[in-house]
Amino acid sequence: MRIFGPWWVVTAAVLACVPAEAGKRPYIWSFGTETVPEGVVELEQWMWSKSRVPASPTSRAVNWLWWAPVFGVSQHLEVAVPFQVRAGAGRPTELESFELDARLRLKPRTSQDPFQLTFRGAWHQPTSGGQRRVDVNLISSWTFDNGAQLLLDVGGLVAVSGASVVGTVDLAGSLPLTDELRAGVELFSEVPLRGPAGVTPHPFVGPSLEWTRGRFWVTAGVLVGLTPLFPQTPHFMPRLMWAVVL
Amino acid sequence: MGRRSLILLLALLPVAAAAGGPSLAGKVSLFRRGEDGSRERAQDASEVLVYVTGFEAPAPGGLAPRMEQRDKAFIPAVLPVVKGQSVEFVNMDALLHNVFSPSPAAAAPGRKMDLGKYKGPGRVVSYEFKRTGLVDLYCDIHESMRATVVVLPNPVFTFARRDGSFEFPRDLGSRQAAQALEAHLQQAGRIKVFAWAKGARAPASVELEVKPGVALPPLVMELEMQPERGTHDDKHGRPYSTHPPGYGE
Amino acid sequence: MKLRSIRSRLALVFGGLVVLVLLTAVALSRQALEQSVRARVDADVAGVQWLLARDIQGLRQLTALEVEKAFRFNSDVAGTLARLVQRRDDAALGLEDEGEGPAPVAVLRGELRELIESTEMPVLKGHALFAVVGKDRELVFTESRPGSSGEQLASTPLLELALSGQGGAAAWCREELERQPVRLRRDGGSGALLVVAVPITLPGGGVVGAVLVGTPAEQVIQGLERSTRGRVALVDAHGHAITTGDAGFREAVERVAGERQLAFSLGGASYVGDGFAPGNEVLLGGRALLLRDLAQEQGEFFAAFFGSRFLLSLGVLGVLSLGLTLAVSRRLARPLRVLESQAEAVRQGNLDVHVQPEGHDEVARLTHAFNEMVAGLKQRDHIKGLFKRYLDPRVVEQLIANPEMASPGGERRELTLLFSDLAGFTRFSERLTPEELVRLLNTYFGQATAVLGRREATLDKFIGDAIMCFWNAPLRDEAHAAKGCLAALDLLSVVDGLRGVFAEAGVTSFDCRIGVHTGAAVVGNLGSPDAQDYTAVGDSVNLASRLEGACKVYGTRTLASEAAVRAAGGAVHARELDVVRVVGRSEPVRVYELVGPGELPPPPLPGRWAEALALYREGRFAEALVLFQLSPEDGPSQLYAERCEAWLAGPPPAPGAWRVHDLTSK
Repeated sequence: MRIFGPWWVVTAAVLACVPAEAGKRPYIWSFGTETVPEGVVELEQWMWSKSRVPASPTSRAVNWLWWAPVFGVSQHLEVAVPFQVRAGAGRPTELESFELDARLRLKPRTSQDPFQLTFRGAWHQPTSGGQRRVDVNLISSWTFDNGAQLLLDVGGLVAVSGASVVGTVDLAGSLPLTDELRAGVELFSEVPLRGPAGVTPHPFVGPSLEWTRGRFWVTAGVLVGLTPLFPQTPHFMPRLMWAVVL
Repeated sequence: MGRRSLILLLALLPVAAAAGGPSLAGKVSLFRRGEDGSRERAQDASEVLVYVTGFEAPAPGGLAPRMEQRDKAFIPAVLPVVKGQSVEFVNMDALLHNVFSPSPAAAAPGRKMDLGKYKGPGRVVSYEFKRTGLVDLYCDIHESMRATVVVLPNPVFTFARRDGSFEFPRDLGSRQAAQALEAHLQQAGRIKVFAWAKGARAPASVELEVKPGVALPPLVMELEMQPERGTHDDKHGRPYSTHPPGYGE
Repeated sequence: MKLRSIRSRLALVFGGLVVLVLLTAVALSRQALEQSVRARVDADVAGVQWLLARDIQGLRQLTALEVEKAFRFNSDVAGTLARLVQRRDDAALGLEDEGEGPAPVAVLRGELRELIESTEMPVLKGHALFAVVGKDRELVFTESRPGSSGEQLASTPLLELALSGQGGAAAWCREELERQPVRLRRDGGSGALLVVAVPITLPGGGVVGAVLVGTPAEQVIQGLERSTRGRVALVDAHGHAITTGDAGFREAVERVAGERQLAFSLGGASYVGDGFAPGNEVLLGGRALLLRDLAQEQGEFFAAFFGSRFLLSLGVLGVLSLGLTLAVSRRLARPLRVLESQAEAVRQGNLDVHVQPEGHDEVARLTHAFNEMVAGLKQRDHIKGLFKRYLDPRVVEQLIANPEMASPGGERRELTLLFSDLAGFTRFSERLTPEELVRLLNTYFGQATAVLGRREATLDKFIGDAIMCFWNAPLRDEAHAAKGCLAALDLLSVVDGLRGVFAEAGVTSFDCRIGVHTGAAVVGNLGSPDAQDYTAVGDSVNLASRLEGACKVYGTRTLASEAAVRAAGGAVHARELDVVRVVGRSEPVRVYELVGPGELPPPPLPGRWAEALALYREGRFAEALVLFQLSPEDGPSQLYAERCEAWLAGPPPAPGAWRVHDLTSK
């Protein structure tokens, strides 16, 4: 019989309060169709990077920190108020922007329909000289009885000035590994619709892993740019997201 | 109690119309066992749920089953519903309440049942129960709030009378239920009847052979309750004692 | 055996004391040991409690941790178990969902078993008992029979506690294990287990089962017994005892387990103990006991006590105490022996002994007292030696009681001195036989000394038939002069009384002459150191002696100086005789004849003595002669008549020369 050491005690104390709950967001790019339950507030934070574009000698890697409280307003609506801090690209670290981000489910959260549709709209307000922008997404998902999910997310990033419009397409699938663990894969591309000439789409593909435990979930993944085919695509776009329910 | 009596009274009319069919009657004896191991017969057996399995039938149309959150309690504490029915959870308190269930029978694929937090009085949130089974319901805010939704495959069920007796189809709530029972009896040739109450050590069940034209013998069943026990965590798996004081009051 | 010497008696007493002290020490320490064993048992029980709690809680927390890790953290065991429980509940209720929902119970059981088997559980697996139990005590997995599952375990308080959501631990004795439908011990053993039960809770839900982990109770008890003195026993909720060792001990523990005072004897061992209830988390419903064998403790203690070191120190102590005893007794006995020898010397008459006392103890005081005693004896001898012949015995006793009165160093004081002599006796002495002489003298001396003793005289010496004595020494006596004068008269009576006796012997004409004088003299012990006498010396002594001799001149029997007569006061009647100047003394002395005791009327003086003496003094010799011649029988009158004739016949004397008569002879 061994003596119960302090290391175990600490570990046990940490683990004792975190059993499983349903997954929130298995993908690192698409928001998915899930929302937080009504009356619930989550604090969510992302850290993500975009590596340099090999083809462009002037491009630099950029890092973002995204932070927001997320409010479950009703069975249909979820609202987040994020801000973003940007670092890298040869510039000092700065507060880059505020956003107002709303996600509206067509069916209430209590609905158990396999097909779900969510509309996302966000106002992007830069603080340092960037363009004001509206993001829109239409997200649809189909969940199978075994928990597997297919997702299609079509959206656009529309500059308020009208100078540029970038379309986004995200095709994703995920599979529950255990009650708490879910693996996903995403195929994502930005498609320039209006703007400077010569800009090609930036397609990425990459895996993600989501782990949920009690009031806490974390999703990590990396999108790998299809740079060989589209040289203007950054090599990697890793993102780590985590959130805790208040 | 009053509400159910009313339902029973109303139910007498359609049952009388279907009176020509086979009848299934019996009595459930309910015993309670104390902490000290004593066993005594309960005076009131009206919490015993009697139902028939072996076939599926849709719920009769009409009002959706309701479960209220009133005075920090789920009312009723045991709600039998038919598979596919949505239950309306009505918050009658001017307080935030939550409904969640850890039971797999209530879970959607990849997601457990959680109705969020909402405030009454009068807010209604519906939830559909798509699988048969026992569904334990709790409130994430108030530990003492507990309820059970019994998702049954068909509408042939009733609560026993105070003395433990029951009679089908007389006690059934609807004509459709009576018809479903009749159809099942004619088809299957066998019938399995269960009696159960929340807190029972095990359900009681009887399986009978059905012969056309032969009256079914009265069923005699026995249920034993055991002392209530058990704790549950909140929906995040934490004990309620970790909630900040005054939370949800 | 007779113990004649102090030394052996002391040695015996000392030895006995040492043995007594040792026996007392052994008895006291035996009693103290028992109390201390009981007290230590009470104290050590707390330690056992801590150790047992540490062991069991440690196992319980390890189990809880691993249950958390293996069942909830990174595997689907808990979820599958929850589904299994739900499915089983639903199946029991006839509510299995026949659709594409959860798998049937049997499939879930298989899955669960595989999951548990494939999950790494280093703590849980490998224990004597490892079992996973579903919500209704349904056995889901056990290492003892990996294939089996589905049996319902018998209800036990621990299982019920765990399934109600609380962890706990209990002792499962063999009977308890045998109640179960499945043999739960993996090693096939039948001994008691200490079973830890940890509930498995569904994430966000209730209890779905419990994990049981058991470790052989004997191991735990042995561990506890290694960490503490004594025997440890665990008693389960039904009173079954779990112990190491033989069944007899276990049964004895079971008999007393419920009692408050734990004490029993078993085969020469005498156990005392204390117990405690460790609580649900350590020993559900049970008690743990700590028992100590009092006899063994005492045996060990006394074995240590009487070990070689003890015997060695006992030997050293014995030798030391013997040596000490001998030394002390020797030291005590030595002065006693010296005293003994000196006392022997005293017995033999040697009073010149002195023992030097050592220290201030009783022996020293005894020595001192011995010295005092010898000194006292010596002084008594001395006083007696000085006075016994000359003094009345009463006076001697008084002197012995107050030796300082003797003032042996010499002292000048006023004495009344008396010299007495038998006149005419020597003439007869040649005619008498020596025996006759001695007889007569002794008769005289016997009566004379008796008379003098009555008058409390201090006899100085006898010189032939003469006696010298004095008063007012060594004891002071205010009436010394009176007593001296009266004693002189008494001596005359003695001589008169003896005339008949002396006449019978042929001594017909004898008389005595007595001189009495009062004056300063020195008294003291005079003589060589070996032959001292208490005596008086000085002019007054000579004068008294001269007065005695002068009796011949006046023809009187007594002659007393004016000082003596005056000092005697009215005690005697005296006739003034003359004023004389003795040889060697310039001062003339008026002398008297003692004529009778003062208490009687004065006897008549012969003739016209006073008138005649007055005429003579005035120098009227012729007239005085006539008057003196009136009484020719009176010696002084005859003497004065002769003088008058002489003065008348001779040339006229110098004026007043006749008033003082010079005594030429001694």
